[in-house]
Amino acid sequence: MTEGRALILTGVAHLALLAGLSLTWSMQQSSFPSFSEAVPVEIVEISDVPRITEPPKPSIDAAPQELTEDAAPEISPVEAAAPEPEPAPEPVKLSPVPALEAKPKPLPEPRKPAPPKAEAKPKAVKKADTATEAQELSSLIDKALPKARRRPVDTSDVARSIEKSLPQGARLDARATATLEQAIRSQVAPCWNPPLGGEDVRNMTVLLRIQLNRGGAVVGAPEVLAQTGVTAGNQAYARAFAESARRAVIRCSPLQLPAEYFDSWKLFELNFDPSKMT
Amino acid sequence: MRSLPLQALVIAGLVATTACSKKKEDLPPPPPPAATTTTTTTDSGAGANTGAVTSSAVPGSAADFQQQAGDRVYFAYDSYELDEASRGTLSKQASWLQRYGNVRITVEGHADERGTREYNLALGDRRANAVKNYLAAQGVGAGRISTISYGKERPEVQGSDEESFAQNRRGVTVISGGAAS
Amino acid sequence: MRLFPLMFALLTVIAAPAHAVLRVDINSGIQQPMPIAVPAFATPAVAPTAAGSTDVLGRQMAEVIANDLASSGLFRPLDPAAYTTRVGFPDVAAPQFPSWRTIAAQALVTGSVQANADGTITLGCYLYDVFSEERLDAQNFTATVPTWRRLAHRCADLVYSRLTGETGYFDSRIVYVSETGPKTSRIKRLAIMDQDGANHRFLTNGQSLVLTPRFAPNQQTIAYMSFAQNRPRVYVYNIGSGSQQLVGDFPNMSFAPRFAPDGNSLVLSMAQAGNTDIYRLDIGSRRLTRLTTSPGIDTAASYSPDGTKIVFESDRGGGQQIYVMNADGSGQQRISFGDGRYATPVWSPRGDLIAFTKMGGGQFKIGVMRPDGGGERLLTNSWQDEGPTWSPNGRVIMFFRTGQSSRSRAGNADLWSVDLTGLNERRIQTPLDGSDPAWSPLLR
Repeated sequence: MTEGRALILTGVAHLALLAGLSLTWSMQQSSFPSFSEAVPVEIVEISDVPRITEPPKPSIDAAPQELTEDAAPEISPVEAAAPEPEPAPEPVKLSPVPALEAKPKPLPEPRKPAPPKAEAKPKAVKKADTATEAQELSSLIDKALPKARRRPVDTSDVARSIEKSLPQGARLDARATATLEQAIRSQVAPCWNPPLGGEDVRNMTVLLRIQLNRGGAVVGAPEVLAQTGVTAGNQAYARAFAESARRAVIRCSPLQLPAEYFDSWKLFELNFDPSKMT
Repeated sequence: MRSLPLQALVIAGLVATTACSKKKEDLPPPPPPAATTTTTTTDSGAGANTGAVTSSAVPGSAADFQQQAGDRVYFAYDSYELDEASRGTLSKQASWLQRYGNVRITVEGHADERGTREYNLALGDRRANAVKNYLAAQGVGAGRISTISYGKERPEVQGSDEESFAQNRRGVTVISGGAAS
Repeated sequence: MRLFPLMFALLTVIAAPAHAVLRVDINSGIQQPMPIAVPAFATPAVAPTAAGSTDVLGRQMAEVIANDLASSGLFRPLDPAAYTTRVGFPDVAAPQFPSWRTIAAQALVTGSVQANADGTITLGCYLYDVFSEERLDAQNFTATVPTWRRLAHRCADLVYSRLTGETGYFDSRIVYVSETGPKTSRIKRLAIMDQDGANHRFLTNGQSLVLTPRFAPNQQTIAYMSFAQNRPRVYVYNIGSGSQQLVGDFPNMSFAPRFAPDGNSLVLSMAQAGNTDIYRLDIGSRRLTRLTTSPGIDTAASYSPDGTKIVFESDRGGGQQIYVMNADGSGQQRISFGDGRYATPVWSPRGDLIAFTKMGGGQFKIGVMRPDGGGERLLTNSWQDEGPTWSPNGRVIMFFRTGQSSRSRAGNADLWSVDLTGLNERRIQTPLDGSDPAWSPLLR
C-alpha cells in the first residue's frame, strides 16, 4: 500500500468513524436529561453552608456533610441585586439620591489662584521677530552655504555681544533650551503615572498646552491639543490616558524653572509618549 | 443496554482508525506475541506463573491475584509504553485472570503530579488502555476489563521527588467482581 | 558679506525661536499605584438595615472598595488614620479638596448610603480628581440589603474603569476546587466566593472528587468534572437551585468542559480507548459533534470571545503544544513553538491574548501570547503554576500554585493572581487549599 493510498484510507476511516460517532449519540439523545428538566443527578450532594461574609477558618468541618431540605438558598444574586447599572455618563441618573443632587455646590476655584499677571513685557515680542528672521534665514543658509565657508571667522565675540545686547529674560540658546527642557522633563515625569497594561497604550500620545505663571504654577486647566492612537474601541482608555497627563502637570505644579527664561516657559507644550516606557 | 453494541462499534472504530494511522503516537502500543507470556519474569520465587508456592491467600481472591501476579505496572515520564518488567507482570495477570474466568477488573491509570491536570487525565487514560489492550491481547476478554483514569489525583505516595513520581506513574489492576473471598 | 558670519552666529545662539512654543517630550513616567482616598461613606440619615445601620454599612463599603482597588495593584488606598477631614453627608458632593491634597491623595471616592422605603439600599458613588478638583463620575446603585457588598464592588468598578480606562472586574465571583488532606486521598470540593474572598461557600461536600469548574456566560451555571460513582464525567451545577446534572451519559471519560460564549453549547474532551479528542455538545439538542480526530491527546479547549475559534492543546506533534481551530473544527493550526511544553490555553475575554501554562526547566509558568502565537510573555515562574483564568476585563490572570510535597507533608496548593504586566503577584486567601480557579463574567 502506498503512502498516499494509506492516507486516503485513513481519511475515509476517520470520516466513517466521525459519522458513526455522531450517529451513536444522536440515537442516545432521547435518554439525556435536559438542563431545564429537573433531573438532578443524585450523586454529588450539596452542602448547605450558609453564606459566609468572611472567609471561614480553615477547617474540614466547614461544610456539613448532609444535604438539608431548604437547599435552594439565597442566590440569584443576579436578579436580586441587579443594581440597574447603565454606564450612563451622567452622574446619579438612576434612582437619584435627591439630597446629593439637589445642591451640587459649585466646584471651588482652581486651588492656586495665580491670576494671569501682567504677561511678559513687550520687549520679548520684539526680539521674537529677530529670532524668526534668523531662523528663516538659517534654513536658507544651511542649504545655500558651502560647508567650507562656514568656519572662517571666529564669531563668538560677535555672538556674545549680540547676546548681551538682547533684553534680559529673552535669551534662550541651544544649551539653555536643552537645560530648560530637562528641567521640565525631570519635574513632570515623576508625576506622570500613565495607565499602562492596556494593549493600546504603547501607540498612544497626548499633547498638552500648559500655561504657567511666574511662580511656575499652572494657570487654568492644561489643554489637550492633540491625541494619537485613539480608536473607536479605546475611548475610555484614551480619556484616562489624557487625564493622567493632565494630572501629572497639575500635580507637579508649581514647576521650578529659571525665572530669566519665563518668556520661554510661560506657555509651552508637553508631548506625553509612553512608547519607550517599560 | 442498547448502547453497548454501539460503544463496541465506536471503540472498534477507534482502534481500527488508530491502527491504520502511520503516526508513532498510535494507540495502543502493540502487544508482543502471546508466546512471550512467561519468559520475561525474573522473580526469585520458583514457579513464577504457576500460582502454587507459599501463597496463603484464598485461590482466586484479590489477595491471591496480588501475590501471584502483582497488581501494578509502572511507566516512564509522560509515557504509556509497557516496558519488559511491566509486560512480565501483565502476562502473569493475564494467566491468573484466565484461570479465574469470572473475575472482572478495572484498570486504573495514574500520572505523577508533574503535568497539567487535564492532560494527566488523558495520559492516565492512555496508560489504563495500554494495560487493558495488553491483557486483551493475552486472551483476557475485553468485556471483563474496564478502565478509569485518575490523572494526578490519586498518587500512591505523597512526595515531590523522582522516586515518588516513579511510584505514582502507574497502572493498577483492581479486581472489581467475581473474585473468591 | 560681512553679514553672513554674523547671521550664522546668531543662528547658533538662538536655537529656539521665541515665536515657536517650546515643546517638551515626556517619554518616561512612574508606574506606581495611584494614591487614593476612600473615606467612610456618609448617610443622609442613620437607619437600621438587616445588614447593620447605614453608617456602619458606609464604613464597611468604603473598606470593601479600598480593598478592591488595592488588590488590582494599580491603586494605593491611603490609611484612613492619615485623613485630616471627615466627609459628612453634604461633603459627598462637594469635598474639601485641599485637605485631601495635603495627604497626597490623587483621587477621592466619596459616597452616601441610604436605606429605602422598599427595603433596598442605595449607594451614591462619587469619584473626584483631587488635583483638578473635578468630579470624574458619579452614579447611584441600588440593591437588596444582603447583597450590599455588590454595591461596593460596583462603585469600585466605576472608580477603576474611570481612572484606568479599562472595564472593572470587582463585581465578579470565583469558583474553584477547595482541597484538603494528604495528596493520596485528597478531598476536593467545589467552592464559590466573591472575587475578594467574601461570601465563601462550598457547593459540594467532598464525597466525590471534583475538578475543573468553569462558569457559563450566565454566571449561574458551572460545568465541572466529577468522579461520582467512579465514572469521571462532566456535570453542570446550577447555583440557584443547587442541582447537578450529567451533561450526557457518554460511555467514556468526559472532562475539560468549557462553555461557548453564547452559552448554548460547551466543548469537552472525551477519551476513547486512550485517544482523547475534543467535542462540542449542543446543550439544547444534546447533540455531540467531534471536532478533533488526531490520534494524540487533544484537550483543554477554550473559545475565543466571539465564538468563532477554539484554542486547545495537543500532543499530536510529540509534546503538548497550543493549537487554534475554527469553531467547527476546521483549520487546525499550531501556534506555540517555544521550548518546553504548552498547556491549558485560555482565550482572554478581550480576545487579544491567550494565557497558558508553560512547562520547562523544571518549572511551571503562566504566560500569555497573541492568538497568532507571537508576543509570548511569561508572567510567573515557580515549582508549579498552572491553570490560568482571566478576570472578566482581561487584565488579571488567576491561577493555582502547588508547592513541593514531602512524604509526610502535602505541599500547599493556593490560588494566586497576577496582573497582565507581570506585576502584583498575590495570593488569594481561601479557607483551605485551592486549585482550578475559574473567574466569572461580570455579574451585572
